Amino acid sequence: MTTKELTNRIAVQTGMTKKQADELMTATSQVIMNALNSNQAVQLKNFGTLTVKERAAREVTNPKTGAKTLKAAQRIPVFRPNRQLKDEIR
Amino acid sequence: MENETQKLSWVELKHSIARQAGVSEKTASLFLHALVNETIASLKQGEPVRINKIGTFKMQTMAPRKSVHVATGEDIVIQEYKKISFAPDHGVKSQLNEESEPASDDLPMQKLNEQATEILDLLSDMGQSPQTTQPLQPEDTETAEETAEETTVTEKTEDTEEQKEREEEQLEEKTETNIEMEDNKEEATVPVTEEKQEEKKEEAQNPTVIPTFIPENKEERQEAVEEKKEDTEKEERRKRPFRPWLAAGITMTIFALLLIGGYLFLQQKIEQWVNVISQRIEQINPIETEDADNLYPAVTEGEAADETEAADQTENASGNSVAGQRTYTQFIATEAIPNGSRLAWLARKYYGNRDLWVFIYEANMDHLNHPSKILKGTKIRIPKLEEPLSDPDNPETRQLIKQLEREYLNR
Repeated sequence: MTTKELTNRIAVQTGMTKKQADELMTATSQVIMNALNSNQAVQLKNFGTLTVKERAAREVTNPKTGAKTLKAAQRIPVFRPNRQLKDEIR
Repeated sequence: MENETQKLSWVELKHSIARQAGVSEKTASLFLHALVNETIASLKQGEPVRINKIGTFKMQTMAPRKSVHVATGEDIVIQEYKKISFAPDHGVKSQLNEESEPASDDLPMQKLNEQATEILDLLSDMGQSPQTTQPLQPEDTETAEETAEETTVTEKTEDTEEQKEREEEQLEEKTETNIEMEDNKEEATVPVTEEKQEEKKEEAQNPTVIPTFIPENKEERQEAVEEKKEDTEKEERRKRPFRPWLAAGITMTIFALLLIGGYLFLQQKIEQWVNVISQRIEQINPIETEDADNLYPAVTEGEAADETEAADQTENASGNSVAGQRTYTQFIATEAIPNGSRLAWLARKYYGNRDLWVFIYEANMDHLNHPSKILKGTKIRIPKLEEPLSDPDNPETRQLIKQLEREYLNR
């Protein structure tokens, strides 16, 4: 399901206009991204938590040449589902 | 994980979304609940959900695999199960890492402080009236103490000015120490304190202002900064919207207008060219026109009257008068008029000239109404025309035809 389909469905469910739902969706993603950028975790009720995880620098091997290079430390977004949802889906 | 000291709770999320989108918190809450519900419903149906600029949530089925029981060391089989996987959107990772590279925490803090000082400047400029000043929000016990002090200050503002000044000096000292404490806590940079000192100087200059500004809390500052950020973001969003259909419509209308304009221009041009060409042709064949000119004056001038008289005489001789009603005794043929046909067509067929239809009409006037309203199948008698009438080039006949045409068509 694409974002557009999602917003349309939300618009139908909540009775707001598609435009409004779309605006809210962009606002949501902006807020979440801002939070993640400032190293904040975002809690989504009944769903899970979006966090930023630090991935340490590591040595990687180029499979073609076999040359080893050092990959810098990274921050990656991670989603951890709610315990309840996890069990429900399992 | 060590860095994740803060967590944006559900309520905070709701709050900031409502602010960002400029809607009520209730609407934001409604939206968020719907978002989560729809996402979960879709995931349970096995359909991945993509949220723009964040990532894709997907249901993943983990195949059964062998494992070892941790406690007993027995071989066990972990059964198949499902879980939700999350793949960040393109650009999210790079965005996260761009931010992190230049000394993660220090720079944003500096920026925040700069913005805070700017905002404080603005507020101090505006805040000469006590209405705009915000009430205190005690953060620590120290600030609470200080607020107590301040209330006393406000009480004593009615006293003499000397007292006020003294107290303000005291306050300055207190607040400075307080700020230093805060700075130690928040790792705030020097400009803040400097700015605050400046502020205090200003307040010292006008002692009527109650120094409610001084112990601005971190919360307040952050809120102000957030507001500013949001404002800029809103402006950006206002600039952004691009409606492709609108642009297409505008281009289409412009194109259509251009086409119409070009068509009209060309039409005008063609008319001009036609005129020019006809003029040229006339210039090339001047003989014909000259001949006509030569003929015409001969008729119109001098002998014209004589000639008409002569014609009249001849017509009278043949039983037809130009001025009066002509009687037709001899007929070439009788024809039932076919559909869509007209008298002009018959005239052309029998006399070789369309203009002579008036005589046909004249011969059939007894059973015809209007020359252009002839019913299909009406029988038309075609009269035999004598010399002057059957010659459409004769100027007199031409004149007669014109006169009759006018007369009959205006019936």
